Amino acid sequence: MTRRTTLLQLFTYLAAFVIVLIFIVPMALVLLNSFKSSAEASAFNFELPQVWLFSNYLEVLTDKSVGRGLLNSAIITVGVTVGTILVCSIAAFVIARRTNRMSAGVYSYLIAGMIAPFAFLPAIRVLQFLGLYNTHLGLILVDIGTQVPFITLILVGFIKQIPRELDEAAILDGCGPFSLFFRVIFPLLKPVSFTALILLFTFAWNEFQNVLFLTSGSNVWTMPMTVFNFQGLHTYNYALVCANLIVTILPVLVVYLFSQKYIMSGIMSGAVKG
Amino acid sequence: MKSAFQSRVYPHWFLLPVAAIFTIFFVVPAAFGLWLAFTNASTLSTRQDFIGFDNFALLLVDNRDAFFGSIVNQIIYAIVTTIGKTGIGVALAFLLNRAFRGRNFVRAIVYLPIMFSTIVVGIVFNFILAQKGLLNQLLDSIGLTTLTQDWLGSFDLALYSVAGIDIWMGVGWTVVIVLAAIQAIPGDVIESAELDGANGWQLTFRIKIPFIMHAIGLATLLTFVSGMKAFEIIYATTGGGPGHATEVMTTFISKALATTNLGYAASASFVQFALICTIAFVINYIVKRLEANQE
Repeated sequence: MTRRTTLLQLFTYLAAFVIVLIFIVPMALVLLNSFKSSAEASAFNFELPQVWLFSNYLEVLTDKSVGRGLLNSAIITVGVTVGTILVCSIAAFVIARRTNRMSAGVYSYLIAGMIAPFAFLPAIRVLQFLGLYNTHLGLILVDIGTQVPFITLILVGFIKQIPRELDEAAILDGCGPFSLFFRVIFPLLKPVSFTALILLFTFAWNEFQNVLFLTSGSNVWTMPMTVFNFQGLHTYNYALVCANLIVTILPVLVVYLFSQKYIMSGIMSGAVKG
Repeated sequence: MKSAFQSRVYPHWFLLPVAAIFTIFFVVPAAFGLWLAFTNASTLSTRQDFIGFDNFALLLVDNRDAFFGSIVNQIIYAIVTTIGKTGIGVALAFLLNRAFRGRNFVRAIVYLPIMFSTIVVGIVFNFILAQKGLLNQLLDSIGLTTLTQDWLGSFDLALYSVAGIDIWMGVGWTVVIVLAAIQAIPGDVIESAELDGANGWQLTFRIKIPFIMHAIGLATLLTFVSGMKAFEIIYATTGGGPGHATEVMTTFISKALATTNLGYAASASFVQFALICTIAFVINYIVKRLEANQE
């Protein structure tokens, strides 16, 4: 019995080791090659560089398109994250509290968007019509539109658990609906807002399809688009491309390291209800 | 009285911003797309005229082979990634449920690629799977030169290579969902099975797997629908090639759009929209039926 258990434990460690290798090798490879010279990186293997070229990062970060891409990504990400949480939470508040046909109808209407794929092609024309084609605002609003269903869903679920007595007390104290929401309810949404924030941040930072189809110029391109074009331009300099890849994933990596618990609970709440 | 309080404290106009954004930027494009599909809209001009079913005729008759080919590829891709992610994901979830040192680290590493940009992952695997890339170097060095391949350049293999990259990137989703379900199995169920003398295999296959079947089913469905929408990873690795070997619906649409024929591209986009909605509804229906049968 004990021999079997030891054997099983040995197998567990062996399997875990292999898994870690499979997942870590591609990531480590990119990191290592980002410090090599162009010639060394062309083999794209695990040989250590002769000289560690930290200057690759300087070269990437001073590239005009990368600077522009980082700025655009920051604008889009902040816009999508803040915008979605604001419009969704205030609506989720009414949906969770009111039981009439109107709020239930709006809720089902929004939830339908979780199944239907986004019709990105005609969106080009809609944005052109509104004068929002190839603008930050247009991209932000489209991204918000695609994220609204899921974020509203997790917010409604959370607000339903907040006792209604709070609302009544606040109203008796002279709060209007606006200050009731922003001064009493919104601060209580911190845990779920944090989960939403991380999901939205990751989504907006990585989003590519909308940027590809709904923008036509580098003035709005975010990092994934920039990195895609960058590797087209520097086809033979893997080192620079790798440095750019690291720059692109770094913000998300930092967020992940600090908030893994919230991300997983967010994915779970989405999976269970979705 | 109650409803007066409700309408004063929870005003309907709080619903307005979200409903407006969702309508204008999500629903209107979908509806407008149906209209565009029946017009000669072009990316070069802003006006369009109704031309009946011409776009659909071009799509479903003249270009039938190319378009249906992309649908078939999409379905193969969705099936391969679903089998891969579910099979490997369930096995990984059981492994990561065992007690061992460094378990949290391994979990974090397995979940990590979920967070990465698809484009970044695509570029990295372009390097690794290249003719002289790391994978072939590795196979060479251990004497398996016969197995070296042009992984992303081969007509027969490319679709499966991309599916492999997708599995690497997305298996963490399945692990999260299944692992949470394993952890939610009531302890007394396992204890009583152990008391009855169930061994490890019986415990896994007779007790635990049936208990987490709903989670496995859910993960399978989510994976399948996302496989039916897959685009970015294909765009970042093969771009639909070689030839049409990895052409899926959205790469087909983007090439149709590149000819400036927006109406034609919209007709392909509409077929894609209808197909995914139908599949999602059918799957949803089957799941509901299965759940109802269980109760």
